[in-house]
Amino acid sequence: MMELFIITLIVFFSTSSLIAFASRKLMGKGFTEFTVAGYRLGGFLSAMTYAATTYSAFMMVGLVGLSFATGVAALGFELVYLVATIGILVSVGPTIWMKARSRRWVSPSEMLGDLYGSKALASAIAILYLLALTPYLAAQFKGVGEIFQALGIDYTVGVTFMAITTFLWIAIAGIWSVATSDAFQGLWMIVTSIVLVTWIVMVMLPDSGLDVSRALVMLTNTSNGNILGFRWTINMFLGLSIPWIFFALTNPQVVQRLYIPRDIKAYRRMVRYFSIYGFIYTIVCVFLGLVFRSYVAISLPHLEKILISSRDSVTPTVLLYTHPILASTVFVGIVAAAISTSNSIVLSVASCIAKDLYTAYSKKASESRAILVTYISIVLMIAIASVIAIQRIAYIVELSVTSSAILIPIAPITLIGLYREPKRRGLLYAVSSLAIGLTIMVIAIIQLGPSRALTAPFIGAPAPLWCLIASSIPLLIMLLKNR
Amino acid sequence: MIKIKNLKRYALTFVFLTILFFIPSIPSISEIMVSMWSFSLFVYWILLTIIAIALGLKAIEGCES
Repeated sequence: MMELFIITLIVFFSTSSLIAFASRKLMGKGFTEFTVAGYRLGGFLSAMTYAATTYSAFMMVGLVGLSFATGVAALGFELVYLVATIGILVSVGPTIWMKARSRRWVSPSEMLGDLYGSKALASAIAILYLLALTPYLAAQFKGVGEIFQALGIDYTVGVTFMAITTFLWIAIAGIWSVATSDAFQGLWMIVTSIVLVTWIVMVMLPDSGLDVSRALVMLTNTSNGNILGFRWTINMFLGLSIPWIFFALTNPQVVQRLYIPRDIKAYRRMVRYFSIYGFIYTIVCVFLGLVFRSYVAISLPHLEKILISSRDSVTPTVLLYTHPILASTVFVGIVAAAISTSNSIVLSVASCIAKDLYTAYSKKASESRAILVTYISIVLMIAIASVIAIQRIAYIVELSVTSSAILIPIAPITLIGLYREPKRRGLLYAVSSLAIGLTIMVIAIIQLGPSRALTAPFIGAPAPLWCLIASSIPLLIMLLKNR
Repeated sequence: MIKIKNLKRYALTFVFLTILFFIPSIPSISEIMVSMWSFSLFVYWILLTIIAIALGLKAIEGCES
């Protein structure tokens, strides 16, 4: 198994690196080319990099485990994210796309700084991105380290592989190599997951005396009751969903992807392909979690309770019972999902640092120096994430889950900023909005702990809901005042 | 300038569709749905998503720069 995984990983790494090198031909000169492809990426590449960036290793590990342990509610949670994202892409997205190219925005923090006429706000948001997304990055590194360890390879080798690959596929040609390698990785992720579903339906279930309909019917009578019913609390559903509903507006790595399609046709294709990709991938991952539950109940009953309490182990454990070639390609698919998310986050946050913490203040700033600062930021971010991952700081995974909630206040600021362009008149309101939202989330994390900050009731409702409501209030006051 | 036909209508419809996703989180409603047919939640969320995708594709076609 270990040998097969290594061979598959080498094939994957070589192919993706070749694709990344080939993309160098497409890259022009300058900081804008390096970070947002000079606003001239095609529709297919835009869609695939959007999908591969959005869908991390969480899908094949976290979502499969969540469906396995808690049932069909996981489908509602993940599909509401997709629907909200499509809504944002077709309503707010075109405005962001058009304004980005006319104002020459490179980073999402620069966008907010421009809308509110403040360099300081742009800098503050760049720092917030860095603080919120470094634990998320470390969690991706840690996840890959654990996959390597489960396959008998040293944990540190997995983290080091992630660090080197993340750096390499950015360094080759910036966003061009990230987007082209993302396209390959996105295809790998979805194809391997579909092949896995097919194999499970055609081979694994029949070997256990099951078929799909029987496996699904079995879910009505599991050790946790009927998991085709809604088994989550309303707080858990709201608390987990709200940060994801606004993900397309709050996370820099996806906002920046709205800048890059070369024309409106490419933008349309991006939305079309991403919608289809997201729908198929979500259904496949939830379906896997559900049929794994029935399979484990019949074939591996001694593992059922263990896997329910340790749900991130569901996919790796069940994969070990499939064909080794299939298992190794799916494991590599999970690694691909982690890399494609990591390198997009690193490049995006590094571009925010270069643009809004260096270029905005330096009198000697030039395009080449901005690229140099981006490289330094990339190396530092990867180094910090690697150290955190290698130290195996226990709460880092829990903290990474809250990163999306910490960024919630950015959603109302972005929406109002885009349509009202309040400039400095709105700055105080935007800063208040950010401060109130962040304070609520920090208090919730301290009081409830990182793992429960999203889902446990906080003054009667989940903290992300309070964060969204409270951070919207200053901006609503601004709107009423300027009416 | 970017022109999106019926932007407000589409935006409100998406907000409405998103709210509909949360209906089954009310225990009495989800119990009624599941008692009628075990797969009703599964199908309900998938249908909402298909409607949203179809609507999204239509909306984006009306977007011109």
